Amino acid sequence: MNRVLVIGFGNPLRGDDGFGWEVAGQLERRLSQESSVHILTPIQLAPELAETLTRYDHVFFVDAALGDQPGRLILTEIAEGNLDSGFTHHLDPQALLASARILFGAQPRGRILTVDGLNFELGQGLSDPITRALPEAVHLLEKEIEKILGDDPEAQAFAQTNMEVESDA
Amino acid sequence: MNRQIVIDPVTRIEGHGKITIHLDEDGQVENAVFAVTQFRGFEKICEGRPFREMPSLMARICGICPVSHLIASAKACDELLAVRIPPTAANLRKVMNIAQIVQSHALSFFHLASPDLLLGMDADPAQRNIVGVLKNNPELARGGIRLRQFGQQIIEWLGGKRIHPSWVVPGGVNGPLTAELRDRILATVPEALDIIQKTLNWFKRTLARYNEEIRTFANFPSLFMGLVSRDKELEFYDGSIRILGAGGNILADNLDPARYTEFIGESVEEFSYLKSPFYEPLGYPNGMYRVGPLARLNIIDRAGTPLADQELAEFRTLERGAVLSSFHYHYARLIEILHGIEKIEMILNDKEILSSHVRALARPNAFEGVGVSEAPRGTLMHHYKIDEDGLMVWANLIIATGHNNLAMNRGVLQVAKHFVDGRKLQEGMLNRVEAVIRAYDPCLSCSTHALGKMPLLIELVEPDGRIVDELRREK
Repeated sequence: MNRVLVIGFGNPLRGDDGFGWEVAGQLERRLSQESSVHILTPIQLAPELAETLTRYDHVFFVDAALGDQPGRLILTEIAEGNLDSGFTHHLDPQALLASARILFGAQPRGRILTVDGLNFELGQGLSDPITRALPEAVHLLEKEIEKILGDDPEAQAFAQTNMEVESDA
Repeated sequence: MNRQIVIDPVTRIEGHGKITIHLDEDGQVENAVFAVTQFRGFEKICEGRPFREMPSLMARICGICPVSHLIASAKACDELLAVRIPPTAANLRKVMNIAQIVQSHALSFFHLASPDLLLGMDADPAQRNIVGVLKNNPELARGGIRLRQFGQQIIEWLGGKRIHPSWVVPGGVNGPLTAELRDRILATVPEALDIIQKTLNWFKRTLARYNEEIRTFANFPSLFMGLVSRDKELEFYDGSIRILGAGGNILADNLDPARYTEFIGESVEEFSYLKSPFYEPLGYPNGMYRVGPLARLNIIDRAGTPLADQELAEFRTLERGAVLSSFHYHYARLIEILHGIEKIEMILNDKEILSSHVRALARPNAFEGVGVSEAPRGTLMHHYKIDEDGLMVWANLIIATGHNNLAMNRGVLQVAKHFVDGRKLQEGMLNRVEAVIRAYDPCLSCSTHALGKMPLLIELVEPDGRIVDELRREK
């Protein structure tokens, strides 16, 4: 059985940066019966998450991004890359996956779902375009997870990179 | 003609601070100050809240050391209830507090400081970070991750979650420890001990490379302050306050932490939101003292656990009398991790640790309470006053990092004078100015919170505004 980890990260006290938490929360309610799917909602990606990734075959990161089309969803394959992005004690998804590989020999397939955010000021609650994008975001991930759990061969293809699924929310 | 170099923000610390270096006409360092630039004001926020909310409210001060605030706050609330909490509850709180110290020290050493120690102070800043560590020494990086997990898991298992657990409450803790959980924690001890011993051995081998930094990183006489146990051993939760004089002599002993106002004064600098406490009998600024791992190892008679005591004996051969260089905060941090792991094992093997009597219930019986414990960065003080309805009317917090404010400023000046040549900036020299701050592992999140992008810009500016040199580090 494939094991799936969803990491919705960001700061829910900074407007649309709470997108990852919101998507993760809805998925958790909908997939509560799936014992092979786990959900995490950290504020940032601490290095020790690298060890957590070793227990999964697929990892979905969910985050809000700076972008010019508020509500636009992009699901992207995380390419294996270099490790030059570290600045302090948190990492980006690419560096985290690379850490899991270098330190623990883990090779989970990683993808990231982002939404173009509109408002990142102090305060709780998502802006309207981001709120409208939520159902599509949850549906998109649910569909991908179903494919994985159903052993869809396409979902097992590790070689794909930069696969993008765009959705107009 | 005076000029300034501004390092804003200081990187790889918790929170947001800046360093300003003042140069004289010849480009030599004249003065240097470390400032905390943002204000949070928790002491005002809590006014009017029911005191029972204080532990969980105060834990929100910081995402790195929430347990420390939880513990100090709960202890202050115990005083408001005027109860003596069950011994098992105190022991369980101690386990959580030590777990917090272990995970925080691991973050400081492995994630924030080790890039300088492993890759060198002058290494390319693009590589001189946690990612550089895991590429160059995966075993060290892996060890850091596992030790962080050791501490965080204990906190999560005991409190239900890693950050902001609400298991510690006024009067004790919310529930007893099960045998299953005790055994699960004990099973993680051997690996943690193995990692920290290997790390200590690695660190001691690298020390010879840093003789110049050891000599100049806030290496000056100062007082040292912290809690000690009744047997004058390392103590993070309870005990009395001991103050060591600049010459290594015991200046004051058996001080009641609840009466801190009798021996600690607080001054405010106009350039910083961080208060500057000082030892009142010696006045400001002569009463400058240091707290945290280095201070704690200096003030105790012994650590109180076998392996840590062996390391402490070796640590004390560094200098005759107190160890004065703040570079050795790193070393002290590692010894405290070792001691913490041993101590957790010791406490969990206590025959009463599974007792179901873990909370004293009472109504408020006092209008004023002080809670003092040792946080990773030093002595933490919460002082509350309530009204007849149990609502908070006043609070004073002395955060561990604040105690070190005067010493951090003195350290920045010492390092800047030794390493910085204002005629031509080099990143490595400025990194050392930051690194002396990093040695203290300040948790400015306790008084501030950094948000957004944190690029580093250092400018050398003439009085007429002309920029004569510039260093820029992008995020």
